[in-house]
Amino acid sequence: MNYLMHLMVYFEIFAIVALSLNLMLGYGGLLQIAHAGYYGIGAYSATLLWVHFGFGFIPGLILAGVCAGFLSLLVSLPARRFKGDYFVMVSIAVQALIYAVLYNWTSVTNGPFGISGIPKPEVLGVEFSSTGAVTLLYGFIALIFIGVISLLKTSPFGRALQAIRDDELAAKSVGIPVNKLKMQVFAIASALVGCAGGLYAAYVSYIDPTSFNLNESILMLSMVVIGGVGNIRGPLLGAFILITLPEALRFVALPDAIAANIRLLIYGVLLIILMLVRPQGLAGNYRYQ
Amino acid sequence: MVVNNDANLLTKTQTAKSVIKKSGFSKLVVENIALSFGGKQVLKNVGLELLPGQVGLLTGENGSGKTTLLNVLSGFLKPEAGQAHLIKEGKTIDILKEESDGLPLLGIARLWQDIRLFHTMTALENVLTAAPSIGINPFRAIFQPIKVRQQEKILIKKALNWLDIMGMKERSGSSGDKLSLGQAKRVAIARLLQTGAEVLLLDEPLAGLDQAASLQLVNDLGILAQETGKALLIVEHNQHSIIPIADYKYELVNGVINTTELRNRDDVA
Amino acid sequence: MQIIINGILQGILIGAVGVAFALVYRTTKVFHVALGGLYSLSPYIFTMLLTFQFPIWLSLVVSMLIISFLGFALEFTIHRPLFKKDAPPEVNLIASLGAYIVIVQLIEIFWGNESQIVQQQVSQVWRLGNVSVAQLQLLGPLCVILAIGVIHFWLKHSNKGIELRALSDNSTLLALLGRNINSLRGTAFCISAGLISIVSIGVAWDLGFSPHAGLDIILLGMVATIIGGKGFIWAPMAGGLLLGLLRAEVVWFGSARWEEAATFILLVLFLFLRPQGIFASKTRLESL
Repeated sequence: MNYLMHLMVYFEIFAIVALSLNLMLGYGGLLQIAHAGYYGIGAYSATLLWVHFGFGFIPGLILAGVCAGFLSLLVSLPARRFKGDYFVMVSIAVQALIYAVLYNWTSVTNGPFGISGIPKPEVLGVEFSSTGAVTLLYGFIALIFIGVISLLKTSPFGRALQAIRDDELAAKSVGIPVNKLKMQVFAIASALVGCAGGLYAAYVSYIDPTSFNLNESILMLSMVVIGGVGNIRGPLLGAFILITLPEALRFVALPDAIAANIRLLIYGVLLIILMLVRPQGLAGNYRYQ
Repeated sequence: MVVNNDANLLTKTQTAKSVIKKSGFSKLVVENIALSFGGKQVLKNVGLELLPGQVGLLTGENGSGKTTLLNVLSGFLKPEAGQAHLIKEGKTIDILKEESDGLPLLGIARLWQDIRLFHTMTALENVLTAAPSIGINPFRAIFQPIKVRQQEKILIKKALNWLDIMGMKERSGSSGDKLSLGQAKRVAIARLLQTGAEVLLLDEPLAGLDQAASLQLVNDLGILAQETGKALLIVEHNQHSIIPIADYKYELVNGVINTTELRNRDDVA
Repeated sequence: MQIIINGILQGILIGAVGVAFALVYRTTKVFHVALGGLYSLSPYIFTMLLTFQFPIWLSLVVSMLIISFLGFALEFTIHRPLFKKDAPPEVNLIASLGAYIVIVQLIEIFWGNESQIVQQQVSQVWRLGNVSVAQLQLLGPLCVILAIGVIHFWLKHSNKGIELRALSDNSTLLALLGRNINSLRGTAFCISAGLISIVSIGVAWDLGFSPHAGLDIILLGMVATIIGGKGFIWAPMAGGLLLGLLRAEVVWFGSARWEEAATFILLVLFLFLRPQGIFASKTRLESL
């Protein structure tokens, strides 16, 4: 039972991760390969704020989101060019740089040894120490984020993003400020994943750079691409699949040594097949043109 | 193809007038535009003027630079020389200095030759994308949802009105890729109107339409210009269909414009 | 001096990976991440052939042929159908990423995930003044330069090579002229994979190999291609040399930990200041 709740917490965290990445990929049309980097920025800044500066759980979490969002602005301001390959390359570079900083700036991040002893979530004087309590708290937070995202999706902002996704030139020609909106959706997605990073840090109470490397980014991307882009149920399905698949594979009684490989193999095969037959993902509704 | 009879359309336009203000701009002035591609001078010295309610026909051979001029005026291309200004409510807007996504809200919007409706959206949503709305700011969308919704109601009303004027109100719920070519063009024009722009640049609006639909659209465009005071610059290969409603004929020959004034419009056809 | 030599040797290898990446990227616009998988796979096949008592040269040729065929297969099974559907670059990239994951996981399943070496052997070291170079260290770059020379000659003088160069300039025009774009695309993937196998085996011979080496090196090759600019041979090689020298300097004066950071800072600088790369001036356009 406790284990199920543990999975549930992971699902809640990764639901936020997948939904925020979907904001970029599915709504903004931006292929982000640095998502784990922003997730890591959130995790580390929240941790530092809690451990060294004595911030409360919620203020630290919000500031972590602000930090990640601010970083995304730094990345997008000088570029102001969000065209396909260019953005992909910038994001790969950003991912590599964030990882290098987390790994090498030992005086702040403690480098490869990571930071331990991160306090458990505490809201209004109530400490959420049991897994069950965390499940409830994180579920509540995830629901708030889902609410915010659906509000955005149905707003004129969401409609403008949809227009950009359909036809960028046409969007410009009806007065939609394309670059500004992409910057905004990038910042919002980064802020959300930054918060998710904070939630992760508080739950596992120990973080090190390996949770935030390029492979993690690729995993996050698979989550969204497999589940489907352009709506809310797709990323949720993707997060669910990627979290439950390892558990499902236990029943097949694979040798331990290759279980992880088989899992990744399945992700890889799924990515290829989906791109060939259903590029919008299992439950997605965005059609690439 | 939707074909309304004239009387029907006129009444619609008249009811619409109560909502639509007469156009607030006073003049579009384009002077000495020059532009070359890879050594070939496409536009040499191009100038034209349009006043509210006027219809300009921009014509010329294939490759004479009609669409290029439209791209310049809608901010998608920057010319090497020349000026283009929109004089509006006492202010002068330098068109060449503005970004393509800023111009529609400043007063100049364009129709694409290949229409470019947003194919995942309904006709109404297509028109709504063009509305300058406070909810396009994500923070207001999150923190002031009620205010955004109130504005949205007004914008929907306006959008439906434009769709009505273009004879497309019944199809407002159809998705963009289910409309016929003629219907899609009408929706796209309604989308331009929703931007509030006073000068509409239409790139070959009649291309691909049959005789009846062409006639109907030309007629509607003429009424539109008269009733709302919008100025239309229409690029058209087949000039004879537009001449009945046009005030000026601008013919692009070798990068220069020959202007013909068509004073007595009804006689020229 | 030692730093510069090391930098140049490393730069040649990075540049060669860049050439392999550019051959596909500049012609088909496919962001060929799976090339990293083929890079990882090459030494495994090579050592497997060695254990079957194949002579070294034959193992090299056979593994090159196998990897080339796999490169072609990737194009045929994944990117060609996507090309026919006119899929955007993003879809190609994600599919290629999937192929990379599949290849690497298969390697781990069959051969395990530990680092391996080709064979126990002490390398003879040459000294020239205060510069020392291990013989094995030279072997890789030499093979690579030879391979690139062959590709260069082929691009310049064979019909297919010339068409391939044209493909990078204007693919629709080439299709209109009735050239077989599909076979050209297949050729590009094939040659790119063949080249990567030589680079990979050359590096493995010197430093050993592991399943995960591919992604890092392909990112370096990508950076070399981007900062190099337009072209298949000189641009990626110049980019690779610049990177190799930079990385060697960083390792020498700073610390090896910032090697990756320096690489990507260089990329970011180029993307912001000179996105067209080193070779972009018009005089260079024709000179390949």
